[in-house]
Amino acid sequence: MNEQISALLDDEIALEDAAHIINAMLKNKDAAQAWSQYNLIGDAMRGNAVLSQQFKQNLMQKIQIEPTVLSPNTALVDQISHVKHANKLPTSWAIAASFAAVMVVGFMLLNQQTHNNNELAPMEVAQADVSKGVAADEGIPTEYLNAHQASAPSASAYYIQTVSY
Amino acid sequence: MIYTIKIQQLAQLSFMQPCSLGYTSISEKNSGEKNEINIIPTETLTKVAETPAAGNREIDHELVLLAQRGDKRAFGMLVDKYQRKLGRLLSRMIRDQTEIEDVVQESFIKAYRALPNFRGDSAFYTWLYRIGINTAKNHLVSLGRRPTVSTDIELEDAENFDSGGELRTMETPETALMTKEIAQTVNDTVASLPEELRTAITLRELEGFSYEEIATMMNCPIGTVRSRIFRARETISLKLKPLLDTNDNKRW
Repeated sequence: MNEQISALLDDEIALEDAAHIINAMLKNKDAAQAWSQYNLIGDAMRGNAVLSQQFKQNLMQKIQIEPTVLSPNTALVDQISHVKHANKLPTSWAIAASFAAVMVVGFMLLNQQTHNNNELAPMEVAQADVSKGVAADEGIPTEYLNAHQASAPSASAYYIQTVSY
Repeated sequence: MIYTIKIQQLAQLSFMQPCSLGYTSISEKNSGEKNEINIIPTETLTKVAETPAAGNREIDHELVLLAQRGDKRAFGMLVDKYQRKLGRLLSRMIRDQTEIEDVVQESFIKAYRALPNFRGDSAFYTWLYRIGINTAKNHLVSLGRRPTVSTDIELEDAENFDSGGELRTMETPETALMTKEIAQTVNDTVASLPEELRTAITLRELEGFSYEEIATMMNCPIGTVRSRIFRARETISLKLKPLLDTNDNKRW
């Protein structure tokens, strides 16, 4: 945990992880103390340690009696969410993924259709063979059969009835 | 072992920023010296790894957002981060230690009250420093005084101001002693650290280099740099603990 706090202090952590660590720090007193001390170390090394020991304590006491701010600025919320999304994946990846998905689905549909066509063809051939065979066996003229099939309703159209209200 | 050739090459390529925003820049002060370094075309620099890191600005904005949602502890974390930097900045306008602390405190309180208006158009520290500078100017006007050290302190100074003699002028005996003790402890501990820890923490805190840049200079993975800096901080923190635990656990 403290190693992550150290990295957070140096801005060397992903934003999603940063949000997680910040939330953990707010709940954990030791973690908050580590954050405070690591900041002090850096400032002391740079010669910044010029405020008195009680400074933060006094300031936070005054902040505590201030009315609590309860108004997240929407512009800031949008900005942070935008950065988080930008950190996740580039837009080009999303476009490429969508295109790949369309291609896969298209290929599968096309494949299925071709497969169905291949299956139907022998059936039609078989049907034609059967009709020829029947006609030949029973001595019915082919012209008669063709005329009969032409005047017969097609499979789906047969069941469609017009209705007027 | 630190590879000075790589530091020179990185500096020549302008690959690295001399320091993080809002930090003191020793390398900036010595920027003129960079021109004197001869270009040494040696082996190609190897980039160690890519870490998608959140910037200083994004992390601060995350803390501000939490504070805007009513979490005062998040604002306290921002105080931890910027109290001494703001104090040092304002020490260029005000000499008296007590006055500086009052103005820094007032600046943070004003910032807290104005927090709902912070939209994230600028970095938090820029916004805070602006509030600090205006508060200091108003303070001096109210006392019928003009700034004693630097009248024309502006935001570019706020972001990149460097340490100077002014720091020594603003200390009371109490804070001077404590500052001295803390600085002494920190410096002594840094000096006693193993070389790789000392180099890593110094390059980070004093020069403001990123982990990636330090990894390139020290010829080690970024994870190792991260671990070394953490271990250095932990060691210093342990040494500081007895000092900070006095005065009833009052922290800086």
